[in-house]
Amino acid sequence: MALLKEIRLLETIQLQKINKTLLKNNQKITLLPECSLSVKQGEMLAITGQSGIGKSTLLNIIGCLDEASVGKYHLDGHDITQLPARQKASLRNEQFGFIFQQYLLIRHLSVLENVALTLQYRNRSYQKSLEEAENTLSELGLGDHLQHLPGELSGGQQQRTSLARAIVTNPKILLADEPTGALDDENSHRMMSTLVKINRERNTTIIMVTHDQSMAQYCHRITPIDTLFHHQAA
Amino acid sequence: MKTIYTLLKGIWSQKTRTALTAISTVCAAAILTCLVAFYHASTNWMAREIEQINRTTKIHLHIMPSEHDYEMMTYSDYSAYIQNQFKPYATSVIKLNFSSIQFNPRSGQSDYFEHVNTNWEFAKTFGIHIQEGRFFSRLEHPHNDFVVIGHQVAEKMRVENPNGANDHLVIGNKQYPILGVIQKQDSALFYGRDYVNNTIFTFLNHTTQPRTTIDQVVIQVSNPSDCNRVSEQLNHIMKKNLPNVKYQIDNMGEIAANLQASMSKIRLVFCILGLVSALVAGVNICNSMYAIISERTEEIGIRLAIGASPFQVKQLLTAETGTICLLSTMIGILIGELINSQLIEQLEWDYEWIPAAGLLSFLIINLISLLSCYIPLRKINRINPIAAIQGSK
Ligand SMILES: Nc1ncnc2c1ncn2[C@@H]1O[C@H](COP(=O)(O)OP(=O)(O)O)[C@@H](O)[C@H]1O
Ligand SMILES: [Mg+2]
Repeated sequence: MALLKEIRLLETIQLQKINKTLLKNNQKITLLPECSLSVKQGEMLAITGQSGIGKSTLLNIIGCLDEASVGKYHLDGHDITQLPARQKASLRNEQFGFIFQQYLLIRHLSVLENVALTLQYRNRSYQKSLEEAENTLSELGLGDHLQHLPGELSGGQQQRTSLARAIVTNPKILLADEPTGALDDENSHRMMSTLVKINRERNTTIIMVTHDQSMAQYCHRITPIDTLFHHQAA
Repeated sequence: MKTIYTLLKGIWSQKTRTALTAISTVCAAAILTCLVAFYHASTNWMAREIEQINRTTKIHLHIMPSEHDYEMMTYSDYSAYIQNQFKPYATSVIKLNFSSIQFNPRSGQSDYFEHVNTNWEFAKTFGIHIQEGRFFSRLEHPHNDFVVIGHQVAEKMRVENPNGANDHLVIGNKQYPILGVIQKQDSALFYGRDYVNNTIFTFLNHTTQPRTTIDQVVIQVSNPSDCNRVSEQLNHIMKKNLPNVKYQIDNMGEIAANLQASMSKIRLVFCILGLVSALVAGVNICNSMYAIISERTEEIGIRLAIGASPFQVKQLLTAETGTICLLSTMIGILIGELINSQLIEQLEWDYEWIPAAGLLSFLIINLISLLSCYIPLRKINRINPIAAIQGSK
């Protein structure tokens, strides 16, 4: 029993037989049937699978943006399956960084402000948040575009802004939903190198969703999503 | 400073909505400011007026003019029935003796009378001898520097100066042009009117005898609460002792009470109007907030996803709307105060300019706008960030 607990501590994320029931076109569909997943601290994991199978949904559940319909979710050994919205918000704030497939930058704020915003939500002063955001953006090669609006940037630049926003807070867990999905080859490889670097330097746990095998190759572990379903392993 | 800049960017991201909200708030604030000022002014005015009335509360007994002496109150009637009846209440009882001049604008209809009071004492102080005719004083008709004379006066003038033009009448040492001469009538009383200048032709009484009847009695009560009692008693006396005399009693106490009642109604209307305008602004803000939430769902979803708490998002939207309200309320108040001061100046209205009106409407509008934000903002608690992001796609 004590051993089991220790293992749980090592395993930062543990999903047990979850699934997600959704209404789609008035029909009940079940995604992620009996899906179980464990991720260790500092691991860099790629989840692969075809489109529409529920990868984004899984990532959203991990990131406390969404809730599983059944099953259990432990984060660092704590059962967080059913947390009220406010506590979920603070978990998102304290633990996670997100990179979305569609970048999801706020249109009327400049690149710098978009990145600084996450810091402000983590109680940095306005001035301090701008400084930190500027450093991170410069590291990612966006130093010349600080005052631009997201709409004025290329897809690759927007995705890097989105990456900057995710890592500037130094999250314990970084969740990336097809971070290279909209990028050309060169940009994709740059993005992956950056993620690898972050994982190595900061020991950030990275869970990445992709359907591109060559991108998945950058990770320690590649898990096709269907192997997580109807979990046989004890 | 920079934070405000970011805030303004958020506001600017929806210019039209901002403008509409601002306009409605400006209007509401302006209206409210005016209404508060009116309310204040009317309160003050009424207080002054009522204080004035109360200080000199009077009961007026008007005796209707009549052709017959037995329908009038005489001096002996007065001393017998009235003079000493009101000692306990009254500080003074005064009798007034006007010469009642009646005219009938629709000749031949003797049932319709209006009457003009000629104050004999007053005329004497101006050196006007009302023996055969009565002349308007400048005070009565400042724009009519003429006289209208009765036919007896005209007759006399013709006799005294048979060859003259007789188009002026000398009163004191001033000449007045004669506008007209009233035709001789059969009746002892004569009525008429100048329809052109709306000036009244007067009854010319060629009798030199002083009048023996009383036109008006004024009783000044020492305590305003005695008004009704005095008025009733007066009524009673008149009915009992002078049943033929037609009269009217004006009770100033009652007038004050009526004034107070109608003023409170007007003030209630002010309050309702002010509240309605504030409410309209509130509803607009509420509506705009709902629209903002659904228009900016994606942004709200993103903010929640990157670590904002629902409270922080609510704070932001409140700050944005609050800024709009704050600024537009200030503009509205400025406009309202401007309107106020112009009304005071242009219309020469009798009220003070109170800056506090702006302050009050500022508080009311901003309170209402905060409340109006609060209701739609509760929605944010239930927003699922992922649904918000996907829903806007
Ligand atoms: N909120 C939702 N309501 C209804 N259907 C949804 C919702 N979210 C996702 N789906 C559906 O669930 C399926 C899986 O979606 P998703 O997790 O985005 O797949 P993937 O990321 O693997 O492409 C899709 O068919 C999608 O249409
Ligand atoms: Mg997806």
